[in-house]
Amino acid sequence: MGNYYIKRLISVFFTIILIATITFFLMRAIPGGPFTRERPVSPAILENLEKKYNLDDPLIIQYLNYMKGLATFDLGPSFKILGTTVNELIVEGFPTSAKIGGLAAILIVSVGVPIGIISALKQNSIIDYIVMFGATLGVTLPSFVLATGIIYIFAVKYELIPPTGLGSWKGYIGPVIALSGYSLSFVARLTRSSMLEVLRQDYVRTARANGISEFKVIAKHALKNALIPVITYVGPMIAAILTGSFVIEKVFDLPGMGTYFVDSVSNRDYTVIIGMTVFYAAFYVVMVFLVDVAYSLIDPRIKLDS
Amino acid sequence: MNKKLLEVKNLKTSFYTHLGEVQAVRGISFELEEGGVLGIVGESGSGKSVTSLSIMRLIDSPGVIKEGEIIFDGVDLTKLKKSEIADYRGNEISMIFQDPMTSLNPVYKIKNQMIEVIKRHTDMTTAEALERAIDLLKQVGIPDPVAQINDYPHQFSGGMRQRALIATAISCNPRLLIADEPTTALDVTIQAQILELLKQLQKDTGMSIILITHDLGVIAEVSTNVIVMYGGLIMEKGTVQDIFYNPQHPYTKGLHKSIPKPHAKNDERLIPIKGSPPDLMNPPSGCPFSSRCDFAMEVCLTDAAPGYKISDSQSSACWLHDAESPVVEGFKKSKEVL
Amino acid sequence: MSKKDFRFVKKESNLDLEQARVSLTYWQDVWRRLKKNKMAMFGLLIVASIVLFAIFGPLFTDFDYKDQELLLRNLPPKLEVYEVEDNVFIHRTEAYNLIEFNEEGYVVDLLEQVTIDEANKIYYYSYIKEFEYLLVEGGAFPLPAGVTLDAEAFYSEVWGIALINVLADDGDNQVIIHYVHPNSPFLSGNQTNGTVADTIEGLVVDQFVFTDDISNPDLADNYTIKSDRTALFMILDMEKTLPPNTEGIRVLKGKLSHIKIFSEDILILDFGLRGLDSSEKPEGYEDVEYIITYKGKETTKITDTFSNKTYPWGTDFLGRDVLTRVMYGARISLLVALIATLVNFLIGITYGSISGFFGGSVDNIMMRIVDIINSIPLVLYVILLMVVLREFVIDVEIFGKNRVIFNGADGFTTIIIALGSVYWTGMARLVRGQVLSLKEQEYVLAARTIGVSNRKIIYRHLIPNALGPIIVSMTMMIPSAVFTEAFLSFIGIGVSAPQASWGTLANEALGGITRYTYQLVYPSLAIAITMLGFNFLGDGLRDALDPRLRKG
Repeated sequence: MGNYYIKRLISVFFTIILIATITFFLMRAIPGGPFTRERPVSPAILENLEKKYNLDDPLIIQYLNYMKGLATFDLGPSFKILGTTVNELIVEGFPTSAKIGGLAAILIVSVGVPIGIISALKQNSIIDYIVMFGATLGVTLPSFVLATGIIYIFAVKYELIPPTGLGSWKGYIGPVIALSGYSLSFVARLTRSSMLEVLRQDYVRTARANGISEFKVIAKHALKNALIPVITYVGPMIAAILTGSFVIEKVFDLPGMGTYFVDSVSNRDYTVIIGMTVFYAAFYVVMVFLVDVAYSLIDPRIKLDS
Repeated sequence: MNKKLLEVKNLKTSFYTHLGEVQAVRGISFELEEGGVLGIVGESGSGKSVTSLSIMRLIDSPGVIKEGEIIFDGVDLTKLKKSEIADYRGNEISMIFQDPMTSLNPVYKIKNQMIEVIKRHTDMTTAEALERAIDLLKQVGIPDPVAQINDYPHQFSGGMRQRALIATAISCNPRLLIADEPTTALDVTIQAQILELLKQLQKDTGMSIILITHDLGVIAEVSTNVIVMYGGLIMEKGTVQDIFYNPQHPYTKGLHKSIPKPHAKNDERLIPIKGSPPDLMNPPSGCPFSSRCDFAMEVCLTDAAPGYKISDSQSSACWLHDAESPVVEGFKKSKEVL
Repeated sequence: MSKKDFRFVKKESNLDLEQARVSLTYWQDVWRRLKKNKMAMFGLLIVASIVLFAIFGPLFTDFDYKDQELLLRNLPPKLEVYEVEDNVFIHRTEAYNLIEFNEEGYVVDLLEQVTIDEANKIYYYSYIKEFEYLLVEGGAFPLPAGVTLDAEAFYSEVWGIALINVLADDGDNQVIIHYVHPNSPFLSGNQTNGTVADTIEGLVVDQFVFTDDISNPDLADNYTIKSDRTALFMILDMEKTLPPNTEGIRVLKGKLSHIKIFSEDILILDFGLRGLDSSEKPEGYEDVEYIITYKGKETTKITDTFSNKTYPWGTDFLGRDVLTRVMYGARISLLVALIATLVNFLIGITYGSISGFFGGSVDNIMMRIVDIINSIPLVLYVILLMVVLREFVIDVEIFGKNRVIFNGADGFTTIIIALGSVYWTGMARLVRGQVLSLKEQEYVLAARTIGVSNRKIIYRHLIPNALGPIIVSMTMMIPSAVFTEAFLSFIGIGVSAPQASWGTLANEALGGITRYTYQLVYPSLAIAITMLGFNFLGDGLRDALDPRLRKG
């Protein structure tokens, strides 16, 4: 059992190193290098710039240096925003993203799961149809459509929330709802179908046949089983939304990780692109690992399977 | 004669699917005395499982008990509220199911699942309930109950799971145990063990058992009385001796011919019953077996036969018993209709 | 009770009451099941409509996706109009352009803002008549030395070429110069012909008409507007050209061009703010009651609201037809999704079947690679690939000429490569699983035992069983590719301008979301409907192809 976690942990590190390596060489494969775009720079300045950022070293030395930095959580300087390091950008952007993402995650779980359950218990009722219609809409609506829709209706038309920024608590409403829309719908659908599946299971019938109260049958016997697939989805999802949504942050103009990442992509700020990608990937695989741990706690069958 | 424990009167259960009404059970009546073991036999779709689930009131939407009474110890179970019937389940009436692999909740320990049931119906503390559960596991033949009660279901084999399920089912000393195909999913050797266990438990506790199966051999092993169901109706009722040595209904006879016998001669061939069971969405107005019956008469296509009394213990729903019908060898005439 | 009929049933009628069902092939059966599923058929209908819309839509529009007309920018699909004269409807755009519509809702004419009285917030407009002329000169020119021009009079030249009304002063005498084009509606009797060279040195202009009638009341009243001392100037000639490098005048020769000539019908848009302090003016003038004066008649109320027929879905921020853009966007979005899905399908099927077929350690390593790729969100790879690929230009010498075979800056190809090279992992897993299980299936063995030919086993058993899940997963892959492409274009690394996918359109419309919501609504709706259609169809196909998965 402990073995299993150690094995998984090793593969987590391996994955992070691999992602960092791939990203590093991908960025170095771009013709021209980081300074040759936009205005042409004189060769002398270019040389100085390359010296300053150690780009005149052989590629393998650069790679090793980068990896050394990575080991000490140093992701290097930004090439485009002078005097700023990638670490600083992450430290600046991550709290904003995490705040929105955390609230969205809470909303997704605390609303998505219950409505999924209710919908399953009231299968084929009007409530079920409404929930399923909304959820289907939610998973087919791209997030930018939802986000802009929210801005238009609630910020522009009725002026209930500010269209951009996080000035007051009201500023959080739009981004959080827009960010959770897809996942909330997905979780509701998933919970519903999982719950329906579980309610058909023999052990639920056994519990009923043993006189267990309907509430306990659902809350104890069915729910724990029904939540297993939901957790599988929710874990990586939380990782993805905590690190910020490119779209939502753009639409609501929030200074989060996503905005910095998109900016770095359009500015061709390669160190920021590498750094943020590695950060995303690392955060993601660690979260997936944690989910696996949680998973094995809830489902006793997992441990033996490994 | 012992006291009547269960009396089912004209039970009709239907499922309202989006394609139409499926009449799974179409009006059956039978009774079970205290300490009796009733076998219900029939092929898949004959309504035998629905009958047992109806008794437990475990018919799920879109299924509905349309008509009839189920009188258990003087109380009509069909009239009880949900909370009231829950007090019977697992307590007065218990049930075990076909597939022990899926009938235990995979995410809870055996201990947890047993204690929950015991505490539900008794005033025991958790410690007492645990002790009781260990006793029960020992009683059903789990080799090391003290340790194994802490296992999860996936750590048990199929036979052990069925034993654990039986232990749970009898934990509150039920007066009726319904076993729905309890051995079908198990290996043949395990089947015999489980049947032996059920017989032993019946002897020890004196509870009544309804044993549902498609396997005549299993019935012969355990039951005292037998009901043969087909197409949602009872074809024949009787004691084990009646049904095995003096079957009166063409369907029961057909069943006998289609199962292998241990001492059969070489030239004795198995004769399958041709055709397939009726569509219960549009059940035939007459006898459900008429389309497959060698002796089908015009009346069989239009009217279902009433139960003709063959003896005190036996009755058969076939027009061939009617005095006016042609005489066929092997079918007794009867004047009395139940 | 009626007398019972106890005769035995004749064997024939009794024999088998089982209904004889026509035996259907697998695909007939799938189609039959699909047809029964209403949602799936609805999805199929949506998908078919969207595909038809993408293929044939652009054939029915008068516009191209890159046609722009700045005067017509941000026209909404629902128009608020002032009826200034019978059947003359004027719509005021957000940018204070006036456009005339007819009562059916078609654009009739554009009015040009000819002058602005910013202080009083009164804007003047005139119809533009377009003729083909040889443009000889256009632009501003400096005044000759020693000549001052009375700006008031001089500026009236803004009205167009038809009339140039210049008051020149060289210190000794004042002259008003009219230039009246022979075709001009202004031509009237009381003007004398001459050349401007007679009056002002350096201005050598052919065919000027001038007059010293300074007190011409028409001209003075209507066309005197204050201005600076630079002059906008255009000289036209039907046949002739000016001598080259005429002093003081830049000559653009020989270019046939549309020249706008304004007619005498002047519209005046009055913001109704006269007399108000600048501090009292409401911000953005939202609540202004505009007064439109046409031929002396004032219209203050919005008289009608009707649908824009020329641009049924309005125009975008560059005056491009939104409907046309959405139709071309459908082409790009669907094509990107389709090609990317096909590429994924090919890679996935090759990879998966190799892995499944060889099994053992080959399978182990290949699936481990898939696991590693899958360990982070695939969209990150797509973004990285887009970042890298867009910098590449590959050219190859073919027949002595350098031909660019790949240009990363062209988002279309790049996005297909990026999407196509990443999302195959799911397909590979699926195919591998199918191949592995098919190798072991009992029904294959069973079919073989009863002597079914290999050919038939492949057609009747293997292909239907393996193809079902693959088709379903492809149906689901298309909408997710549309989704991803829209997402990439929306964050600005997708298809490049002036080409536009739905995502690009949504991105472009984002800036004007508060005022021009419709620009965002149509592409967004297109995406949402497409997703919905493919999802319904995919769900239905899954049910139809694999009856085991059908839920009660």
